[in-house]
Amino acid sequence: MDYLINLSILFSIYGILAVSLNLLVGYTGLVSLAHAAFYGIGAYAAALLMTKAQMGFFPAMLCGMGLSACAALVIGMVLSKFRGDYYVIASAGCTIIVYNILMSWREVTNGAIGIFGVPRPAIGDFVFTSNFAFLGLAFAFLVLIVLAAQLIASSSFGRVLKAIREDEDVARVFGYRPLHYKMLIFVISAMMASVAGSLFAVYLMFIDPSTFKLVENVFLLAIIILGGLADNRGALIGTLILIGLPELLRFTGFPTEIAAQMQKVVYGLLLIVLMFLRPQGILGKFRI
Amino acid sequence: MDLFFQVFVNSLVIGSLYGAIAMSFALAYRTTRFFNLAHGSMAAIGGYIFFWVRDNLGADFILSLAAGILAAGLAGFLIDRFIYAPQRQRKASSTVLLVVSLGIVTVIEAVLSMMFGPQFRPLVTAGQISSFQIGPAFITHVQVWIIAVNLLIFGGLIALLYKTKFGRMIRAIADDADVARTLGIRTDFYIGIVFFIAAALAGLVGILNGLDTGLQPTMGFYLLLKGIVASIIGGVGSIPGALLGGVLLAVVENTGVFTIGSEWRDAIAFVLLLVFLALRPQGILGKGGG
Amino acid sequence: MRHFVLALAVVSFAFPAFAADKPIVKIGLTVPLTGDNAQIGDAMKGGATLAKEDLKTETKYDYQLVFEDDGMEAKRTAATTGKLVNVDKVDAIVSISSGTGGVVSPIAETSKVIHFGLASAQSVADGDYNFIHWTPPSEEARTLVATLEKKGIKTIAMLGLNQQGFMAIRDEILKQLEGKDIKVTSNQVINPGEKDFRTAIAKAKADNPDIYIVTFFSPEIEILTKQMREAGIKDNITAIEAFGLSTEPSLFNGLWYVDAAVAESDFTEKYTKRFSRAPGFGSPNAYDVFNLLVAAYEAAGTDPNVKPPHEDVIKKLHEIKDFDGVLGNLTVDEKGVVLSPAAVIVMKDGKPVSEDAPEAVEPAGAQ
Repeated sequence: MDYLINLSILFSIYGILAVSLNLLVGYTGLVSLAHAAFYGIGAYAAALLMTKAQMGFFPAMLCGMGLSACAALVIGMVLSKFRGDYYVIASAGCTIIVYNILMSWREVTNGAIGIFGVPRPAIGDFVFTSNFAFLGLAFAFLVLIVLAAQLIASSSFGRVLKAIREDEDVARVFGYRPLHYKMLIFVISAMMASVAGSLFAVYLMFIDPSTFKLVENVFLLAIIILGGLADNRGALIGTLILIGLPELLRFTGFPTEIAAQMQKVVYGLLLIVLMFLRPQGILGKFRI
Repeated sequence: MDLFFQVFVNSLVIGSLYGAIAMSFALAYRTTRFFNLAHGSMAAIGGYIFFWVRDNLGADFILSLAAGILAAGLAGFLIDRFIYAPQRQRKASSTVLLVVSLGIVTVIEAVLSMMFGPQFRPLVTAGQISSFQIGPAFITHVQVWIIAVNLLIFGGLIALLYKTKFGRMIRAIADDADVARTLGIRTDFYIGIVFFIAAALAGLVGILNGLDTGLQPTMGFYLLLKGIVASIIGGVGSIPGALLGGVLLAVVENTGVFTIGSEWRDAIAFVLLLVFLALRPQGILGKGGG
Repeated sequence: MRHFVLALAVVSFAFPAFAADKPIVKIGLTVPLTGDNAQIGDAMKGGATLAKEDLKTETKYDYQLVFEDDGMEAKRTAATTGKLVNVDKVDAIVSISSGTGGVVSPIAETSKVIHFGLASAQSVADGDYNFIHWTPPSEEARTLVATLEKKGIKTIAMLGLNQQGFMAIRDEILKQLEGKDIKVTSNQVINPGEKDFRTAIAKAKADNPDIYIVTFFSPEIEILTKQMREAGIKDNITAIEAFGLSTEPSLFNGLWYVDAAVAESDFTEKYTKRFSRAPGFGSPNAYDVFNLLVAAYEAAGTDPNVKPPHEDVIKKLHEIKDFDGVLGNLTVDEKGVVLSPAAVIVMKDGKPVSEDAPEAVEPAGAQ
């Protein structure tokens, strides 16, 4: 039972990441490989502020969101100059740079050693020590983020994003300024990823840079492409499948060496086959 | 001064590896206009087949080398024939092709890991040391080969593109594949050959890289990322640009390693990329914009 | 009568489940069985398996092992630890590396499960339920610095991998060099995955230090050494732990380095016979941890039908003194760190051999 709770917590955290990435890739058509960078910034901001400045979880998470927003403004400005494939490569570069900073700016981030003893969140006297309670918190955040994403998608703001995705020049003709919209959604998405990062840090109670590598983006991209671009339910279904898959393989009794590689083969084949059969994913409405 | 010379020689060697992978990448890119992230995996395939033929079949060096290069080329050709070409026919966007290639990288890395193990594997036992001095700088025989092969690839590609009928054909395809097709050029056939050549060259780079340090299933992707950076710096699709970009990237990286510290190498490389993308997206020798 | 005895013997032979009537103590190992560090997980698996097979039959409880693959990744460790604690209901967890240990230790503390980390980072032992069985960096650094002084070395260059354990070791060396007549001419950190060390080597070499101290895992240690030799640096290389981790140890023939004491030769022989390969990084530690746990359980158990609570076992673990382990005489201190000595090792024909330790290895007061 507790095992399922652990998996559900991971599902909630990755659900947040998938839904927020979908706002960029699915709704706006920006294939970003910078998401892991904001995930990492959120995780480190929470871990550092809670251990070094004895801040509570919620203010630390807000600071992390603020920091991610600032970083997103800078990165977004740089990225806004590019379209299509250049955008992908430049955003991948951002993840590599942030990972490098987490790894090598040891005075602040403690480098590869990581940060130990991150406390669990508390409201008043109640501490989310048990995983069951923590699942409640993580799931609440997932629901909030999904609602926010749903609101964005169905609002006029969301419609402009989709228009930009279909044809940026047409959107411009209609008097919208694509740059402003793209920057705004980039910042929003980054702040959401930052929330996931903060949750991840207090869930593990330990954080090191290894989670925030470039490959994490490939995993996230596989989730939303599988589940469906420009559909929030799709992003959640994708998360469920790809978080559950390795755990299922764990119980099948495959030799572990092979199981780990089989998992990667499955991810890879999913990407290839989906691009042939259903480029918009299971529930998606948009093809990249 | 001695130190400066050593750092320069180191940069030249690494720059040659970056440049060679960037040139082979550029050859395919200028013809098909998409970021083929699986290109680096061809280097890994070349390296592993070389290793396997040499150590398991006991073949001599030249035969193993040929087998590695051929296997990589064939892999590149088949991937194009069965995956990229059908997507091209469906008029898939370059981003779709990029995502497909990401899937291919993941599969190839996993399959290589299952076949040869995920660990790093040196091609030369560490006991075999074959360095000599040029002035104050140390260099190994393999490194001299890396530099020489890099120049050969450059000369060969330039000759191929500008001195042969084949070169004219693929330049025509690069300009406009649809027009080329209506003129009766078998575009898919020529693109297939381009993929074969590009992948075979990547395989050669993989073997050289393996002989210099060693092999790992994930080696290709990392090498390709640096190759793409080199290619963008030099001007995407430009062969001389790729060579120039590779050497420039390596010089900047090594200067950074020397002055700031080794642990900042990747950040330095990608900051350089972002600076170029922001200020000069067409690269040093490129004409078109990003 | 004879038939009856025979029948009984057959029955007990055919139904070893008789033994399972004893309460079961489950020990879970979360180790990398795949990925770059798979050989470490394999070596630990071997050590623990051998310890279980070596166990005397007349124990009060039945001891079982469970293995989970975490690939030495934090995210996967959280999942494997969750599975060990909640699905397998293990009594104790063994982890390897400071990163993995850092994930396991808070979980162990909240779920009240005993945790042994094989880790250099001392914070892995924080809390009541957490223990470390790895020669502490302070011990290794002390031995290294004493040996450097004894050999009259004045200048050193350090090249280290940016990885939890090795950074802890590096920090400890720098701390212990304070006030000593040894100068660090160059101190460089290199990120995992790097294969081209040549410019870093050139930079270190420019100051012409007496000796180079390198702290890396395999394969970096072999690549680095090869590149150092190619740059003309031959025999003035030393290390903490690194040479012992190499898959090509003969590369370091004739060089001295500091590591945990060499495991007893009995153990090495037994292990090699059982698995037809030499024990690796972590094998003797896993073997010792299994036996320490068994010793504590057997001592804490008053009723053979009921397992003692974890709290009693922990109390007994802390009381362990001069335990005859394969890594020497082991004592558990109040923080939960198993004190095992560091030693100067010399690589001879690809095999680590203990060199007579310099005097300063004796406990040097408050550390």
